[in-house]
Amino acid sequence: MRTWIIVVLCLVPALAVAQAPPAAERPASELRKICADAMNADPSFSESIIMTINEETFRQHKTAGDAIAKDQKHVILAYAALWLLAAGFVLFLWRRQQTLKTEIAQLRRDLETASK
Amino acid sequence: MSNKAIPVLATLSAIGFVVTLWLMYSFAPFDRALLFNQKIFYWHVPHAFMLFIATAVCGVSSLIFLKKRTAKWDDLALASAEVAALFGAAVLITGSIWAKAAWDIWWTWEKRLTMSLLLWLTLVGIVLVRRFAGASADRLAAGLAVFGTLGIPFIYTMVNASDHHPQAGAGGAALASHPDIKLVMWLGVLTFFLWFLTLVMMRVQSVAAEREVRELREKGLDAGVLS
Repeated sequence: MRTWIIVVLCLVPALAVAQAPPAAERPASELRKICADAMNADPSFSESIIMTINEETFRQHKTAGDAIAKDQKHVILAYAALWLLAAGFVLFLWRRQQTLKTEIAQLRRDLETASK
Repeated sequence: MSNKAIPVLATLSAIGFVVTLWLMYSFAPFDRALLFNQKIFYWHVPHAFMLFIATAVCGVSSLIFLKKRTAKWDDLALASAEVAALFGAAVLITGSIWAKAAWDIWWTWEKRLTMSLLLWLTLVGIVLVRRFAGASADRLAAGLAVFGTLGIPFIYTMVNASDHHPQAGAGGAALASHPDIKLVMWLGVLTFFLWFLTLVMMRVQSVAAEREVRELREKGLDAGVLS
Protein backbone atom coordinates (compact mmCIF):
# COMPACT_ATOMS: atom_id res chain seq x y z
CA MET A 1 0.00 0.00 0.00
CA ARG A 2 2.80 2.37 0.92
CA THR A 3 4.46 1.64 -2.42
CA TRP A 4 1.27 2.60 -4.30
CA ILE A 5 1.03 5.85 -2.38
CA ILE A 6 4.62 6.74 -3.38
CA VAL A 7 3.96 5.87 -7.04
CA VAL A 8 0.80 7.99 -7.15
CA LEU A 9 2.53 10.90 -5.45
CA CYS A 10 5.31 10.78 -8.07
CA LEU A 11 3.03 10.32 -11.08
CA VAL A 12 0.53 13.06 -10.33
CA PRO A 13 3.04 15.92 -10.48
CA ALA A 14 4.66 14.34 -13.58
CA LEU A 15 1.26 14.18 -15.32
CA ALA A 16 0.49 17.72 -14.22
CA VAL A 17 3.76 19.00 -15.73
CA ALA A 18 3.19 17.01 -18.95
CA GLN A 19 -0.34 18.39 -19.40
CA ALA A 20 0.44 21.94 -18.30
CA PRO A 21 -0.19 24.64 -20.99
CA PRO A 22 2.95 26.00 -22.70
CA ALA A 23 4.59 28.96 -21.06
CA ALA A 24 3.33 32.28 -22.46
CA GLU A 25 5.59 33.81 -25.18
CA ARG A 26 7.79 36.53 -23.95
CA PRO A 27 6.89 40.01 -25.15
CA ALA A 28 9.00 41.56 -27.93
CA SER A 29 10.35 44.25 -25.66
CA GLU A 30 11.70 41.60 -23.30
CA LEU A 31 13.31 39.66 -26.19
CA ARG A 32 14.78 42.90 -27.49
CA LYS A 33 16.24 43.62 -24.07
CA ILE A 34 17.68 40.11 -23.81
CA CYS A 35 19.23 40.48 -27.28
CA ALA A 36 20.63 43.92 -26.50
CA ASP A 37 22.10 42.62 -23.23
CA ALA A 38 23.65 39.68 -25.05
CA MET A 39 25.11 41.98 -27.71
CA ASN A 40 26.49 44.32 -25.05
CA ALA A 41 27.94 41.43 -23.14
CA ASP A 42 29.61 39.84 -26.17
CA PRO A 43 31.03 42.25 -28.84
CA SER A 44 31.71 39.40 -31.30
CA PHE A 45 28.02 38.37 -31.15
CA SER A 46 27.07 41.98 -31.87
CA GLU A 47 29.45 42.20 -34.85
CA SER A 48 28.20 38.95 -36.35
CA ILE A 49 24.59 40.20 -36.27
CA ILE A 50 25.54 43.53 -37.86
CA MET A 51 27.54 41.74 -40.58
CA THR A 52 24.62 39.46 -41.40
CA ILE A 53 22.27 42.42 -41.78
CA ASN A 54 24.78 44.38 -43.84
CA GLU A 55 25.51 41.46 -46.12
CA GLU A 56 21.81 40.99 -46.81
CA THR A 57 21.30 44.70 -47.48
CA PHE A 58 24.40 44.82 -49.65
CA ARG A 59 23.26 41.74 -51.58
CA GLN A 60 19.85 43.31 -52.23
CA HIS A 61 21.41 46.58 -53.41
CA LYS A 62 23.88 44.76 -55.61
CA THR A 63 21.16 42.65 -57.19
CA ALA A 64 19.10 45.78 -57.94
CA GLY A 65 22.18 47.64 -59.21
CA ASP A 66 23.18 44.77 -61.46
CA ALA A 67 19.66 44.54 -62.84
CA ILE A 68 19.72 48.25 -63.67
CA ALA A 69 23.22 48.17 -65.11
CA LYS A 70 22.48 45.12 -67.22
CA ASP A 71 19.16 46.44 -68.51
CA GLN A 72 20.69 47.82 -71.68
CA LYS A 73 18.47 45.76 -73.94
CA HIS A 74 15.84 48.43 -74.52
CA VAL A 75 18.38 51.22 -74.97
CA ILE A 76 20.26 49.20 -77.57
CA LEU A 77 16.97 48.22 -79.22
CA ALA A 78 15.92 51.89 -79.48
CA TYR A 79 19.27 52.98 -80.93
CA ALA A 80 19.28 50.08 -83.37
CA ALA A 81 15.80 51.07 -84.56
CA LEU A 82 16.97 54.67 -85.10
CA TRP A 83 20.03 53.60 -87.06
CA LEU A 84 18.09 51.12 -89.15
CA LEU A 85 15.55 53.77 -90.08
CA ALA A 86 18.25 56.33 -90.92
CA ALA A 87 20.37 53.84 -92.83
CA GLY A 88 17.34 52.60 -94.78
CA PHE A 89 16.36 56.14 -95.75
CA VAL A 90 19.89 57.11 -96.80
CA LEU A 91 20.22 53.90 -98.82
CA PHE A 92 16.88 54.61 -100.49
CA LEU A 93 18.00 58.18 -101.34
CA TRP A 94 21.38 57.05 -102.64
CA ARG A 95 19.94 54.33 -104.88
CA ARG A 96 17.21 56.66 -106.12
CA GLN A 97 19.78 59.35 -106.91
CA GLN A 98 21.96 56.89 -108.83
CA THR A 99 18.99 55.69 -110.87
CA LEU A 100 17.93 59.26 -111.62
CA LYS A 101 21.47 60.27 -112.66
CA THR A 102 21.64 57.36 -115.08
CA GLU A 103 18.18 58.15 -116.41
CA ILE A 104 19.00 61.85 -116.89
CA ALA A 105 22.24 61.02 -118.71
CA GLN A 106 20.40 58.58 -121.00
CA LEU A 107 17.61 61.05 -121.77
CA ARG A 108 20.13 63.81 -122.57
CA ARG A 109 22.03 61.50 -124.88
CA ASP A 110 18.80 60.53 -126.65
CA LEU A 111 17.79 64.16 -127.06
CA GLU A 112 21.24 65.17 -128.35
CA THR A 113 21.24 62.30 -130.82
CA ALA A 114 17.79 63.28 -132.01
CA SER A 115 18.73 66.93 -132.46
CA LYS A 116 21.76 66.11 -134.68
CA MET B 1 25.51 75.00 -102.51
CA SER B 2 23.83 71.72 -101.60
CA ASN B 3 26.46 69.52 -103.19
CA LYS B 4 29.22 71.00 -101.04
CA ALA B 5 27.13 71.44 -97.90
CA ILE B 6 25.83 67.86 -97.68
CA PRO B 7 29.18 66.15 -96.93
CA VAL B 8 30.10 68.89 -94.44
CA LEU B 9 26.77 68.59 -92.62
CA ALA B 10 26.92 64.80 -92.69
CA THR B 11 30.43 64.85 -91.20
CA LEU B 12 29.41 67.29 -88.46
CA SER B 13 26.37 65.12 -87.70
CA ALA B 14 28.57 62.02 -87.44
CA ILE B 15 30.91 63.82 -85.01
CA GLY B 16 27.86 64.96 -83.05
CA PHE B 17 26.51 61.38 -82.84
CA VAL B 18 29.79 60.08 -81.42
CA VAL B 19 30.20 62.94 -78.93
CA THR B 20 26.57 62.75 -77.77
CA LEU B 21 26.81 58.99 -77.34
CA TRP B 22 30.00 59.32 -75.33
CA LEU B 23 28.58 62.12 -73.16
CA MET B 24 25.30 60.36 -72.42
CA TYR B 25 27.18 57.34 -71.07
CA SER B 26 30.11 58.96 -69.33
CA PHE B 27 29.05 62.51 -68.46
CA ALA B 28 25.29 62.74 -67.96
CA PRO B 29 24.18 61.74 -64.43
CA PHE B 30 22.33 58.51 -63.80
CA ASP B 31 18.58 59.01 -63.48
CA ARG B 32 17.44 57.13 -60.38
CA ALA B 33 13.76 57.34 -61.28
CA LEU B 34 13.87 56.12 -64.88
CA LEU B 35 17.10 54.15 -64.42
CA PHE B 36 19.32 53.18 -67.32
CA ASN B 37 16.48 53.35 -69.83
CA GLN B 38 16.51 57.12 -69.44
CA LYS B 39 19.44 57.12 -71.91
CA ILE B 40 16.86 56.69 -74.69
CA PHE B 41 15.74 60.21 -73.82
CA TYR B 42 18.88 61.80 -75.32
CA TRP B 43 17.95 60.72 -78.85
CA HIS B 44 14.18 60.33 -78.50
CA VAL B 45 13.58 63.97 -77.57
CA PRO B 46 15.82 65.43 -80.33
CA HIS B 47 13.92 63.28 -82.83
CA ALA B 48 10.65 64.73 -81.51
CA PHE B 49 12.06 68.26 -81.96
CA MET B 50 13.12 67.40 -85.51
CA LEU B 51 9.66 65.98 -86.20
CA PHE B 52 8.18 69.34 -85.21
CA ILE B 53 10.76 71.34 -87.17
CA ALA B 54 10.43 69.19 -90.31
CA THR B 55 6.63 69.36 -90.14
CA ALA B 56 6.75 73.13 -89.67
CA VAL B 57 9.15 73.50 -92.63
CA CYS B 58 6.81 71.33 -94.70
CA GLY B 59 3.77 73.39 -93.65
CA VAL B 60 5.37 76.78 -94.27
CA SER B 61 6.90 75.80 -97.62
CA SER B 62 3.55 74.30 -98.66
CA LEU B 63 1.81 77.52 -97.75
CA ILE B 64 4.33 79.52 -99.80
CA PHE B 65 3.94 77.07 -102.68
CA LEU B 66 0.16 77.46 -102.61
CA LYS B 67 0.64 81.21 -102.85
CA LYS B 68 3.53 81.44 -105.36
CA ARG B 69 3.36 78.06 -107.14
CA THR B 70 7.15 77.93 -107.33
CA ALA B 71 8.80 74.52 -107.86
CA LYS B 72 11.55 74.99 -105.27
CA TRP B 73 9.01 75.41 -102.44
CA ASP B 74 7.17 72.34 -103.64
CA ASP B 75 10.43 70.37 -103.64
CA LEU B 76 11.23 71.55 -100.12
CA ALA B 77 7.72 70.67 -98.92
CA LEU B 78 7.94 67.13 -100.28
CA ALA B 79 11.48 66.58 -98.99
CA SER B 80 10.66 67.84 -95.50
CA ALA B 81 7.43 65.80 -95.41
CA GLU B 82 9.36 62.61 -96.07
CA VAL B 83 12.05 63.50 -93.54
CA ALA B 84 9.35 64.42 -91.00
CA ALA B 85 7.70 61.03 -91.57
CA LEU B 86 11.08 59.41 -90.94
CA PHE B 87 11.64 61.33 -87.70
CA GLY B 88 8.04 60.67 -86.68
CA ALA B 89 8.53 56.94 -87.10
CA ALA B 90 11.71 57.19 -85.01
CA VAL B 91 9.88 59.08 -82.24
CA LEU B 92 7.03 56.57 -82.13
CA ILE B 93 9.31 53.54 -82.17
CA THR B 94 11.80 54.80 -79.57
CA GLY B 95 8.99 56.13 -77.39
CA SER B 96 7.27 52.79 -77.52
CA ILE B 97 10.45 50.93 -76.58
CA TRP B 98 11.06 53.35 -73.74
CA ALA B 99 7.50 52.90 -72.48
CA LYS B 100 7.96 49.14 -72.52
CA ALA B 101 11.21 49.44 -70.58
CA ALA B 102 9.91 51.93 -68.03
CA TRP B 103 6.25 50.99 -67.61
CA ASP B 104 6.03 47.56 -69.22
CA ILE B 105 3.58 48.72 -71.87
CA TRP B 106 4.22 49.23 -75.59
CA TRP B 107 1.35 51.58 -76.34
CA THR B 108 -1.58 53.31 -74.72
CA TRP B 109 -4.29 55.37 -76.40
CA GLU B 110 -3.72 58.50 -74.37
CA LYS B 111 -4.09 61.95 -75.99
CA ARG B 112 -0.41 62.70 -76.55
CA LEU B 113 0.42 59.39 -78.20
CA THR B 114 -2.74 59.38 -80.28
CA MET B 115 -2.06 62.93 -81.52
CA SER B 116 1.54 62.01 -82.38
CA LEU B 117 0.31 58.98 -84.31
CA LEU B 118 -2.23 61.15 -86.15
CA LEU B 119 0.48 63.65 -87.10
CA TRP B 120 2.65 60.82 -88.40
CA LEU B 121 -0.26 59.37 -90.38
CA THR B 122 -0.89 62.82 -91.87
CA LEU B 123 2.76 63.00 -92.97
CA VAL B 124 2.56 59.53 -94.49
CA GLY B 125 -0.65 60.69 -96.17
CA ILE B 126 1.18 63.65 -97.72
CA VAL B 127 3.86 61.34 -99.14
CA LEU B 128 1.23 58.94 -100.51
CA VAL B 129 -0.81 61.76 -102.03
CA ARG B 130 2.32 63.05 -103.77
CA ARG B 131 2.96 59.63 -105.20
CA PHE B 132 -0.51 58.53 -106.25
CA ALA B 133 -2.85 61.52 -106.53
CA GLY B 134 -1.96 62.48 -110.10
CA ALA B 135 -1.83 65.97 -111.58
CA SER B 136 -3.16 67.91 -108.60
CA ALA B 137 -1.04 65.98 -106.07
CA ASP B 138 1.20 68.95 -105.23
CA ARG B 139 -1.73 71.18 -104.22
CA LEU B 140 -3.56 68.44 -102.35
CA ALA B 141 -0.41 67.54 -100.44
CA ALA B 142 0.29 71.21 -99.69
CA GLY B 143 -3.19 71.62 -98.17
CA LEU B 144 -2.73 68.49 -96.12
CA ALA B 145 0.67 69.72 -94.92
CA VAL B 146 -0.77 73.03 -93.71
CA PHE B 147 -3.49 71.09 -91.88
CA GLY B 148 -0.93 68.72 -90.34
CA THR B 149 1.25 71.57 -89.10
CA LEU B 150 -1.61 72.82 -86.95
CA GLY B 151 -1.25 69.67 -84.82
CA ILE B 152 2.23 70.57 -83.57
CA PRO B 153 1.22 73.04 -80.81
CA PHE B 154 -1.38 70.58 -79.51
CA ILE B 155 1.13 67.75 -79.20
CA TYR B 156 3.74 70.01 -77.61
CA THR B 157 1.22 71.30 -75.06
CA MET B 158 -0.01 67.80 -74.26
CA VAL B 159 3.49 66.46 -73.69
CA ASN B 160 4.24 69.27 -71.27
CA ALA B 161 0.88 68.98 -69.52
CA SER B 162 0.91 65.19 -69.26
CA ASP B 163 1.34 63.62 -65.84
CA HIS B 164 2.61 60.41 -67.36
CA HIS B 165 5.12 61.58 -69.94
CA PRO B 166 8.69 61.93 -68.65
CA GLN B 167 9.80 65.52 -68.86
CA ALA B 168 13.19 66.91 -69.81
CA GLY B 169 15.67 65.31 -67.47
CA ALA B 170 12.94 63.04 -66.11
CA GLY B 171 13.60 61.56 -62.70
CA GLY B 172 11.49 64.12 -60.87
CA ALA B 173 12.23 67.68 -59.90
CA ALA B 174 15.76 67.04 -58.66
CA LEU B 175 17.11 65.99 -62.03
CA ALA B 176 14.69 67.92 -64.23
CA SER B 177 16.86 71.00 -64.23
CA HIS B 178 20.22 69.25 -64.02
CA PRO B 179 22.54 71.24 -66.28
CA ASP B 180 24.50 68.18 -67.47
CA ILE B 181 21.35 66.43 -68.65
CA LYS B 182 20.21 69.56 -70.45
CA LEU B 183 23.62 70.07 -72.02
CA VAL B 184 23.70 66.55 -73.49
CA MET B 185 20.09 66.82 -74.64
CA TRP B 186 20.68 70.13 -76.45
CA LEU B 187 23.83 68.74 -78.02
CA GLY B 188 21.64 65.90 -79.29
CA VAL B 189 19.16 68.43 -80.65
CA LEU B 190 21.97 70.27 -82.48
CA THR B 191 23.34 67.02 -83.86
CA PHE B 192 19.98 65.88 -85.17
CA PHE B 193 19.26 69.31 -86.58
CA LEU B 194 22.41 68.97 -88.68
CA TRP B 195 21.26 65.46 -89.62
CA PHE B 196 17.83 66.83 -90.53
CA LEU B 197 19.44 69.46 -92.79
CA THR B 198 21.59 66.76 -94.42
CA LEU B 199 18.60 64.54 -95.17
CA VAL B 200 16.41 67.39 -96.43
CA MET B 201 19.16 68.64 -98.76
CA MET B 202 19.75 65.11 -100.07
CA ARG B 203 16.05 64.64 -100.67
CA VAL B 204 15.67 68.06 -102.30
CA GLN B 205 18.43 67.09 -104.74
CA SER B 206 16.62 63.87 -105.44
CA VAL B 207 13.27 65.62 -105.95
CA ALA B 208 14.93 68.14 -108.28
CA ALA B 209 16.44 65.25 -110.27
CA GLU B 210 12.98 63.63 -110.52
CA ARG B 211 11.65 66.91 -111.86
CA GLU B 212 14.46 67.09 -114.41
CA VAL B 213 13.66 63.55 -115.59
CA ARG B 214 10.01 64.52 -116.08
CA GLU B 215 10.99 67.63 -118.04
CA LEU B 216 13.46 65.72 -120.23
CA ARG B 217 10.82 63.08 -120.93
CA GLU B 218 8.35 65.76 -121.95
CA LYS B 219 10.98 67.24 -124.26
CA GLY B 220 11.68 63.80 -125.68
CA LEU B 221 7.98 63.20 -126.26
CA ASP B 222 7.59 66.58 -127.92
CA ALA B 223 10.63 65.90 -130.12
CA GLY B 224 9.33 62.45 -130.97
CA VAL B 225 12.44 60.77 -129.53
CA LEU B 226 10.44 58.93 -126.85
CA SER B 227 7.23 57.11 -127.33
